[in-house]
Amino acid sequence: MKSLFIAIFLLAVTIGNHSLIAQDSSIIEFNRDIRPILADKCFTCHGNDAGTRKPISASIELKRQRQASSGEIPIVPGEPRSSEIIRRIVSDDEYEQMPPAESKKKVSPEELALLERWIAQGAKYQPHWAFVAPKKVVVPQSDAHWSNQPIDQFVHEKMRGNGLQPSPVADRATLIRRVTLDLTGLPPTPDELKAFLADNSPEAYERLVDRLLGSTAYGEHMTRFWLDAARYGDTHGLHLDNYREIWPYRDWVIHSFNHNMPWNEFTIKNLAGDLLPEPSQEDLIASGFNRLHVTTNEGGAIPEEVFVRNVVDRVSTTGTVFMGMTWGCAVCHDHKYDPISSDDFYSMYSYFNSLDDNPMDQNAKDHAPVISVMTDEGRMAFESLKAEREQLVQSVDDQYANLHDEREQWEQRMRSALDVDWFEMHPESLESSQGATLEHTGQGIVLSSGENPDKDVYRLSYKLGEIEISALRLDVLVDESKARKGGGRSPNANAVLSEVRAYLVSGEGEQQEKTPVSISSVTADYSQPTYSVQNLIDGVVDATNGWGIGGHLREGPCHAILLLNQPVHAPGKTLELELEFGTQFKQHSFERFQIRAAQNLDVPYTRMSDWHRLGPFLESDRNKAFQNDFGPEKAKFQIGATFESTTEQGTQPLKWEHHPEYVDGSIHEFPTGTGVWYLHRTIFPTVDRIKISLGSDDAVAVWVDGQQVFANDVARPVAANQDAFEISVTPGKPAELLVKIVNYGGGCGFYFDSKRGENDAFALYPLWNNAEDTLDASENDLIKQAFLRQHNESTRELVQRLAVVNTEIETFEKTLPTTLVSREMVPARPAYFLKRGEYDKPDKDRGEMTRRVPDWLPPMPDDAPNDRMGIALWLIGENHPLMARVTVNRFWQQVFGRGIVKTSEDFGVQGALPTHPELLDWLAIDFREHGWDVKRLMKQLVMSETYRQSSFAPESSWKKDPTNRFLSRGPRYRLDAESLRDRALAVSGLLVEKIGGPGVKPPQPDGLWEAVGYVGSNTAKFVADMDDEKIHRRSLYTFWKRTAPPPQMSTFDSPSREECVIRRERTNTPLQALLLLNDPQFVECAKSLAARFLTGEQAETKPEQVVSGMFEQALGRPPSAEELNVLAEFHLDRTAYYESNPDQATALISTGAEMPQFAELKASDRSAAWAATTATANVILNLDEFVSKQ
Amino acid sequence: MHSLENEHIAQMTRRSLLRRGGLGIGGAALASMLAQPDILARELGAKPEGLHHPARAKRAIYLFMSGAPSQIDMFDYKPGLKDRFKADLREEKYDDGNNVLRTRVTTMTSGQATFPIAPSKFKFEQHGQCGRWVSELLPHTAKMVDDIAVIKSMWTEAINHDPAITYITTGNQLPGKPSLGAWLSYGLGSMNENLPTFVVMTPSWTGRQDAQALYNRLWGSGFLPSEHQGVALRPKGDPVLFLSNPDGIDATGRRKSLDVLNQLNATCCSGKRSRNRCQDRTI
Repeated sequence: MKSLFIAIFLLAVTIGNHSLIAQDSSIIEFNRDIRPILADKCFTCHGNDAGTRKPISASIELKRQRQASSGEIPIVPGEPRSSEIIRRIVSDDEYEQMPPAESKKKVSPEELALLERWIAQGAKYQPHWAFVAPKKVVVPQSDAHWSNQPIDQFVHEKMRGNGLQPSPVADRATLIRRVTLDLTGLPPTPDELKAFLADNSPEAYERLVDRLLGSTAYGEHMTRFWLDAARYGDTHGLHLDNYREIWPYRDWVIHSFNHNMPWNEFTIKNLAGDLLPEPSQEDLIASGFNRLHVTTNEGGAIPEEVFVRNVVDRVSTTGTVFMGMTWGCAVCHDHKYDPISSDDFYSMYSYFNSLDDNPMDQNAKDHAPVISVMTDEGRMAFESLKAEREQLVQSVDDQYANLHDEREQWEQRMRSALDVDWFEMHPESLESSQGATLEHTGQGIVLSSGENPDKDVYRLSYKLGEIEISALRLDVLVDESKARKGGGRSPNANAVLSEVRAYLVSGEGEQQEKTPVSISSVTADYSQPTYSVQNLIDGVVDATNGWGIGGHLREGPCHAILLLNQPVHAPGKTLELELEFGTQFKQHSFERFQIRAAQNLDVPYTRMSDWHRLGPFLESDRNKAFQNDFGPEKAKFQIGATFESTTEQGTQPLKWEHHPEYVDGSIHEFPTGTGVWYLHRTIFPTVDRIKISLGSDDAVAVWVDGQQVFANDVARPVAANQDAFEISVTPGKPAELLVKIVNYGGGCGFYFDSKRGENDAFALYPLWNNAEDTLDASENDLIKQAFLRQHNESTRELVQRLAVVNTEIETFEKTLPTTLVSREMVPARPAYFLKRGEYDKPDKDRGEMTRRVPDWLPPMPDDAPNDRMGIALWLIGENHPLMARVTVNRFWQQVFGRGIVKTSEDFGVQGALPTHPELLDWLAIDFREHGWDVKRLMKQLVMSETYRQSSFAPESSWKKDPTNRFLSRGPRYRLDAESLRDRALAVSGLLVEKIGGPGVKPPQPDGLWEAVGYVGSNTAKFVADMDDEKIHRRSLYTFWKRTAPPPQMSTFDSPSREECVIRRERTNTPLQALLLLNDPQFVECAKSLAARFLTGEQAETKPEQVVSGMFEQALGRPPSAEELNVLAEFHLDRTAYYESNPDQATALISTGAEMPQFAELKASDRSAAWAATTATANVILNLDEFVSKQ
Repeated sequence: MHSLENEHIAQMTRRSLLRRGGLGIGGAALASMLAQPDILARELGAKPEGLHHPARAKRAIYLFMSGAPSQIDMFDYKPGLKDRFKADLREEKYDDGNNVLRTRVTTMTSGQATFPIAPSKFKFEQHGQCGRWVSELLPHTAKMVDDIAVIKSMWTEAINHDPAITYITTGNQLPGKPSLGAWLSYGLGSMNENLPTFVVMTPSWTGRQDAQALYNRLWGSGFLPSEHQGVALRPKGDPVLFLSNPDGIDATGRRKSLDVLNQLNATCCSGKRSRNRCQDRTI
């Protein structure tokens, strides 16, 4: 039994008025005066937690006349002297004294006096105020002269009781600034200010409030408070801290506030949007609330443990946000102060443990379950694309069916194209780099035996005769006498060939010349899955890249065919072949193989001529080097053409040089030094599109038939596959390919490769060996499309259009944002009580947890389903004592800077008591009874006279109530991080008012992400956005990396968003001052504010007017004469300084992004004036009045 | 000084402090706050007047060596392991019959067929007057072992980098709790109001594939006010964020602008207008 708690209930006396400061202070109230003492000094041992309650002292019984286990009576109402509790507190005996010495706690004399008086007055008990449903209270008629609004009546009564008077109403300029900041997070514009000041009607203020509540900025501002509570972030938060895509949730919240979604509905959708009947896309997005907790995918993590942590977070967050209770305390033990037992916790847990997400996030942005989010316009465009695809597929099928005969002929030709007379080649020499024995066994067949090294390179030399060679065929043979007929020398009979290289060799010794022979395409009758034959000519040798013959999966011979880029005719020279086996797979080399050759092939495949190179043209100006045509860009390619490189040193003639050694798929080094190079080759296409893959040191540009098709002005070392793009060509029509490489210094080089075979009939070769009915749909599609591509112009266009549409659909789907949602498992996953909160200690003896709500709160509504939906309905039920109070208190805190209950996150016994309990209850009931109407509530708050008071007050007011608990002054405090930055952007004219979209990355100092980043994380390196659209958005759109939040936010007390926070601390630190003064974004704001008053109509304004104008623009009031004097003097001084230090002026006004509105000033010679004005604006944007709401 | 307090201080060893993680220091902080009679004064922004007992430590330097070699190869000499080489850890029992392997096992290894014991392959020798065993990997450290306290009784139940380093720096495996330095700042205050109480030298980017991630929370203030978060001294750019004047504003220019700023801020607080606490932004 929870002795204290239950005992208290036995005694419960209904006491309606639990005000913080009693009218008659001589009456002691349990909740106000006594519970805090007991909670602080006694409950750790004598509280609710059976785990830490000391058996010997188990029961401070508050029950009258009841004996404790010691035989004493703890509390004898009316008789403090006879009460054991008092005796023990005052006892000197170290064995009797309470609290015991080791607790380091002591009851102070004041507290002891309170206890004694309480007992003397009869020891009346009150249940904790927050667990009793709010009751309707009569609005006190305190002072109709000040205001007759209920809020004000409650507040005034409390003021009066504490000897305070309301402050006068704030002046109108202050008022519009205050209310605009509070409802929209932005300052009023000068026009809005002017209009309000000019409107003398009594309704002016109300009209202003209505306008603000109707603006879209209202929803954005309200949302950013909610994002702290919902622990919204753009990354997972743990370990790698990769990107998580869930911004559609943020946008949904904005939309909900702007459309004034009733708070009960908002609550339902957040907790259980997915459980609504036929949930809309928006309902599902809303249910992402349960998925916003941090997640991990760290190697080694135990999924069951991560699962428990995720669910605990959901319960704790729900408990804090909707109930204002610290549920998390009850994970391991009964709550020490509040009645939340561990059993209550795991009952609540059983509602939230049944989401069917994988506890591990896979480091993916779309951690399932997710939905793709489409706007209405997007959906229409998408549907029309899909309709077009359907039509195209139909036409393709029709055409294909109609062309039956042509198709047969084509297929026949294709099938037989490679079925030519392959002639044997007899090797002149054979060599294994690792000592395997290679021997020629006749008919060109090579046998490998003896040493069986892990890796190997076979070198084979063939003397060439008169016959021209255009293709080679590599047959991997099997030994029929062996048990495993796979073809490889490894124990599993498999082999993986990394690379094939061919060379022409002439001469011997020192005279030897060796030139590479380019292989343009390969195909094979079989490739092991993911070990494509295409790997043979990709220039890559690594652990897993190669042609696998699948000897462990299948038996029998297989072969590859290699098409030479250009036929080789070199009688007397030697053809050298290198077969490299260099993967991680040991001994995966061929045992028996044969090389044969073919003279010519009647097979359509795309060829490319050898490269020619021209250069270097010397040009030190980077822009000119990249932009200028040095001759060949427009001219038609001619081998003998001459060009000139002209420099100050003289003129150098240049000619195209032949470079047959530039084989595709490898890096070619050029001479070092600044200069421009051109490369040329002719393409003989049999396809209409070719995928190109480039690497370059440094910049690169590409032309096809004189049309530039690609350009990338970069500085980089060369590597494979740095750029990829596709070019269009016409089958049968040779195309001229020109590549320009611009070296900005140091090394220079070039890499080229193409996927020309992909759409080529040649690539279909493996398919011809299969019967048509064994091909799958995609293989049949390949054949279909290859046929139609070559058949005629119209069929080609059809297929091309289909390819375009397919790509568009794919891109559309890929670029659709996704968002995490909740999805309930059916049937629900069982939940168990976890002993001491340990994931691996489920108390199976207790059986599955029953889904139930705590018995100290109202029961679940009868008709509510017993799931998350039920929890939501229970929370918004009429009798729930916490939900409405917690909610109105949070909105109150937002406007007044502190809640009626200061600890807005904790309404429990350890939390603060409400300063205005009746007001809180009145607001809670009023809010609920008026349909949980948030805009109405916000309007009530800001319409109150309490809110409209001046924040200036006489010293006596500050002395009496230093923290303004009794609200005899208007709210005044430093703006939150977001409002501060947004205000600076707004007054300087930089703010981009666009709603929603992915998180943006305004500039921040280098290295903040890297300092904490994991190399493999996709958020390890911060790259600032460049365009105005992104860097000048409101702060709630700033990308939130949870392990390194944006400094502009975290420096000003924003939470890290790793867990739910509903009350920000407010501190002042030197770091904040440094940021406001020096952060380039704030300097940029100053620069932009300055520019506003130096351009356009104001270009001729006098310095004093400029200063005054900026001041008014920033603060919404003109400066006083004194203020203007001080600033103007500073401005004058700075002007003189920048006039004599033009470099400094240029440096200052170069801060930040290029904006069109700066063009006029940049072009003028007024940089000193601009810099001085910027320095002055920097001061204004740092004024206390600017960083505060008042 | 009160003898009980002395006793308390004597009991508050480095070991107990570390073992209790953040909670140990949190307790100290709470005690010092409660010792303050005037809570309102605190809300007004007054600094704590002093500690509830005379402070002996003036400063703490805490090196968190993310990715350091194992203690088994440095200080934690376990000669007995040689005999147990390759024995399966799961079969091993203490003298009292309890299993040696009692914690859960990371999924990196939990699938292994056996859990072979692997003793350190480095040589250990005793050093200094204290006779501390130190491995051959630390020849220089070995020369100063008499000046170093090595605690060999620390253990953790965390099995992964993120939760483990979050635990050792904040006392909890999950984010959200204040770090060790934040607690010290909160509980012990500052002897010097012009400098931060808690500074952190944050790591630089090594680019190494296996370098583990760190997190701002490791020096964050958790649920404490953010003035207690570690002020990062960065290896790159401004050592303290936004410390440098903007390009084009020199020290004299900045001095002048600060003077103007102070003058203007003071104007609105003084004079004939009522007080509105310009300088008390936290209210």
